[in-house]
Amino acid sequence: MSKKTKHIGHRITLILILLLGLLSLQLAYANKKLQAEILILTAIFYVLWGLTHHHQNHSLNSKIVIEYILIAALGIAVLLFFITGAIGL
Amino acid sequence: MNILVHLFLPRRTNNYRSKLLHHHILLFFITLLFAGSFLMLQIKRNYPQVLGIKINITNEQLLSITNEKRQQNNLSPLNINPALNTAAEKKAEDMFAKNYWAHISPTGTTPWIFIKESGYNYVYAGENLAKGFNNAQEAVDAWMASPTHRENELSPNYQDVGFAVKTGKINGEDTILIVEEFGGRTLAQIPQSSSLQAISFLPSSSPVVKSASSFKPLIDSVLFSSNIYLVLIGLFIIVLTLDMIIVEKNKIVRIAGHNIDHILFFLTILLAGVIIMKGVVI
Repeated sequence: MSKKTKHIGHRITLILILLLGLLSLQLAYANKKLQAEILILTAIFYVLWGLTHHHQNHSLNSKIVIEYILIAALGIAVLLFFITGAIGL
Repeated sequence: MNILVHLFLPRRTNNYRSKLLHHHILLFFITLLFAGSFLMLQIKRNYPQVLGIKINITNEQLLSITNEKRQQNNLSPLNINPALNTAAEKKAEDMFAKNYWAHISPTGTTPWIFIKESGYNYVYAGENLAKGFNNAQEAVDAWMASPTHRENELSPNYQDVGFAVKTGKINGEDTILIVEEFGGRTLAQIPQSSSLQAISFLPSSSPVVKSASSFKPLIDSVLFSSNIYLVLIGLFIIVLTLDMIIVEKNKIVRIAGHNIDHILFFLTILLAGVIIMKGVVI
């Protein structure tokens, strides 16, 4: 498998993970607690996907691990801020 | 200008990575947002007159949009009835006090009890409920999109209507609740909604319930938090895109994650906010 094909395959997997997260959010529309759990799970899967992707590309190091964790945490933090203002906890 | 370039674009001074994407800056934003969420929650709880949900929905808007829909379907307009308004208010207060989101309360109280108690003697009656909507048009549109609610909105059996728009907590969530009670006093066909049960009505009020007309906080928490949310997500998507374009264009070799992955993740967060904030009707 060429490097380019592998990259496309990985990216499709990522898009599917994120779409699955959004679909689950939609299905859990009446349950905010479940929606929060789905969001955290989606962020965890995003980090795991990032680490797997870089590991397979032989480019995984501590800097990249921290970057994916920080980006996932930032996404959750900004959404938490929005939800706190709009809905409350 | 130099500071902006340093923050937004990859160059030698920021080790070829936009400064906003450096780990300690990301950590700074994460800490700020978590602390901000905690602070906002405390202010909302303790000083609701300063920071709270501002309601932009009035009974007049709901009536006007409802009648607009009815006229589009060649039906006579509904009239606001004070007794039905009272019934809707009582129903909303009961929902907050007993913490439920349903047409029938956990103690078995039906909407018809509230309507009867308000002094409205109906032949036909109906109820539509909505929560989580920030404007009247979206709420009525959601009712119109649901076949059973549409049936109420466009029923020729009703002549009167009453509304209540209130904020309070249901299942721990700050909620804008809209109650719409329909009534018809003229016997036209076989009565459809006369299923009154002999259940005692216990009027209740809750201190956390605020009516639309009396409660206007200084800062609208929905607008405040959504603006910051949109600005921050937009900012990071722009910075990641610029960083990605410049690095690709200049063939810069560096150790970093793929910006395209982060952009996809932030777009997901953006869509998640839209899904979470969507109102619901029953």
